[in-house]
Amino acid sequence: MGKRFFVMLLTLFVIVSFAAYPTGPIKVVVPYAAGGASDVQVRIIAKYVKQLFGWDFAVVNITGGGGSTGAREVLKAKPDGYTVLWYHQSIFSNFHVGTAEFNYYDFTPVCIATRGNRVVVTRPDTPWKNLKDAIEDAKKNPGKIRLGAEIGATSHFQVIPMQMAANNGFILAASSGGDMDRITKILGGHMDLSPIALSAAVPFLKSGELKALAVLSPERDPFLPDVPTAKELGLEELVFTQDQMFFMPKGTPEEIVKTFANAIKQVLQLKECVDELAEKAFVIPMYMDGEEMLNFLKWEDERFDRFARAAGLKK
Amino acid sequence: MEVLVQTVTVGFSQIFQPINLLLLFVGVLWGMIFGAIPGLTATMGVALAIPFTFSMKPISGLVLLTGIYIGGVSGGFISATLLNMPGTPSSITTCFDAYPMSKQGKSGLALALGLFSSFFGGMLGVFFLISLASMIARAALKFGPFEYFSLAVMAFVAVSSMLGGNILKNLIGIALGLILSCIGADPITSIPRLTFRFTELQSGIALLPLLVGLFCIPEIIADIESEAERIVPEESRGMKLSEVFQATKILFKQIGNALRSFAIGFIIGVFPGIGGATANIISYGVARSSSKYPEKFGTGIPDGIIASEVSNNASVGGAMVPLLALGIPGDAVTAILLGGFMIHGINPGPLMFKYNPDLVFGVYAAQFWGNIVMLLLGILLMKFYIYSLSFPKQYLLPLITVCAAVGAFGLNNRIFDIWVMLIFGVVGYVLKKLDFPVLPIIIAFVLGPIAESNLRQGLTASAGSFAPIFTRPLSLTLLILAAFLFVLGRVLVKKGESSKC
Repeated sequence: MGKRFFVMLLTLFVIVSFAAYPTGPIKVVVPYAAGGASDVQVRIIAKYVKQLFGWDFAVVNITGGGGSTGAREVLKAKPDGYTVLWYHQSIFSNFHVGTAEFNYYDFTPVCIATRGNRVVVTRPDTPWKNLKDAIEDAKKNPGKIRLGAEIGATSHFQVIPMQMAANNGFILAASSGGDMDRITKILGGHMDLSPIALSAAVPFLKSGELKALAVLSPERDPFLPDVPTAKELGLEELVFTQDQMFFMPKGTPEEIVKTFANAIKQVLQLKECVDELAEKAFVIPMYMDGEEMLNFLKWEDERFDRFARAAGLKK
Repeated sequence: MEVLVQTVTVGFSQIFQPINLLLLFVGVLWGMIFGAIPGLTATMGVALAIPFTFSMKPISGLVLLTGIYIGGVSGGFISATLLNMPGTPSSITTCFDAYPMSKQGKSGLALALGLFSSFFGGMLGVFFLISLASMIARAALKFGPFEYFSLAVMAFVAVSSMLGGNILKNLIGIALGLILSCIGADPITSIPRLTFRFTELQSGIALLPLLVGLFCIPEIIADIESEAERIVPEESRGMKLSEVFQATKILFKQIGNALRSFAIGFIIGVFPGIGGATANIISYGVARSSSKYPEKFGTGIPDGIIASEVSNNASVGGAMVPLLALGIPGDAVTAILLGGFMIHGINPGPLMFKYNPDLVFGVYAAQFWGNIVMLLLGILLMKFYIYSLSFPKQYLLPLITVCAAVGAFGLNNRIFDIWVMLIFGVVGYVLKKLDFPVLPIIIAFVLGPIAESNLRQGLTASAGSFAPIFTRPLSLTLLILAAFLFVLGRVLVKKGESSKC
């Protein structure tokens, strides 16, 4: 009797634990600091996930190594769906410059959630109207104009096609911090232009302290409709977006991955959520999962590989 | 001037809503407790409180967070004075004079000096923040990588006067600090350095666990070794009113020292990425090298406490300047505060004055009243702090150790940081037994990366030319200042030697 009861209980437990994922809080690792662009977005999503499904996202910030320290924590975590990584294209840049030993295929890709754009900015007193002018200027006067980027990070990959278009006429000026550090340096005249996340740049563009030269998205950005894309300016290769996606450790059961992805999909259809993401983080929802996501990851990965080789970052 | 008036009218009317006033008290108290416990810092206090602010009105959330920040930075002097453990990295040098003074039976005076110096630095910082924020922030933009490098050089010279004793030991300590600071991703290329394939080391060693390891753990072990049953004697009764008056009198007498320390702390706070730890070390170093009796520093004189505590609280006001004016955090705490702003959809920076002026004035007012609340709570609750630290050591020491470990973990949510703390705790203990100073290690660890990263950033922007270090006026000024401090230091050493003969 006792034994049968125990078996029944165990079966029940197994059924419940499979059927009802999640049974507890899900740890979402943000590999960047609290209050940064990544962090703000996932906290908004977490709020609506709680509202819609009652799930608790425990957002944990693990910084360092350009995002790879936090990513590594998830890489090593148990593949039970209770540890999730919130990451973007840095997964490719870190792998191809050698800061991280793992790539996207070392995780279980869950879904892409949002897309944020990058904008190349400069001081208003520079003579350039758009990015094309700046590149022509650098071609004519090599070694004068300082193009800023964080070496090895995604911003570095974004300046590689610019530098190639200008026949290496730019001085590649390194910054050790993120977007805000480069904005500070541009404002102070220690750097002349650099690609910046839209969310960081918009307040300065609105106040007129910075000027936009081009957005790097495939189409014009809804928040800056007057700024041309690099593609329009004839820089076909210069298409970079910052797409935030969820990863789980390799070997996470497919059921769990699907349940999680589906929840995110539904949350991103809520108008309030979309509005809040636009207002606070300047990003648009861009849901993608399964095969479609894998193809996108593969395509991006190959591009990062190619640029890393072209710039001599990788042998 | 208009800003000042607005702060008084708009800002203060917000603070004097009962809920906000209550939150300010709670925040400052919470901050002071975090500051006073070694390993727990203002940074962590603010980070932990952020989730609570989600559901609050923006202004209430900001009041709470600002209160914690102010309480957290000032609270560090309590454990520095009573336990010889810096409660936060911003109060490393507070230990040097506050602890000896307290050992001489003048713990009440030492605490009062710490409290009033904190208040002085914080309050003056608020006035500068309110009246000059936007101007200062724009001026600070002129500070480029080469200027930061020269500033780091000057800082090295300024603090070298603190390193008494054996020159060889000091140099070894500095080398060790520099090597430790090199561990992890290269600041420019992100290529891992000195990690020996330990992936854990790729993000480097953090200041907090290193500091707690080198300063607090050896002190805890030493306390275990000692015969005394309590670290803080039971009969310590807090601050007497006479000691409070005496402290304010000393502060007024040393107004020159206080103002200089304020200037150093505030300016360092304004420059992003340098922080309160550097501020109090430099300020102490400068106070010592410009003192008429440098040899007395470290024996328990008020000058050292004032230099350290004024400057670290001044750096709070300084760090708020680039945050509010440009949206650029000046230190670790303001970086998290920025997060607290963003969660409410407020983008600090050039547009904040335009779109959310009420919030800016609210934050100003919270800073102003936060300092007053800090002083009040300090006076009223000092007895309670002392009482809780005068528990028998078999209860107190394990509690401190656990809190320190929690603090190390909470820094980045990694167990690894606890190991760093423990390993350097053992290292620190061995060094202590060998009479080997740990301060040079910390100084090099803090200043080394500032110098390296900025020099290399500058060199990329100048296409490899070192010339801008000397041709940029600000950078050259800093180097001349460094040379001046160096000569001054030599003269003082000579004077000290001749007076001994």
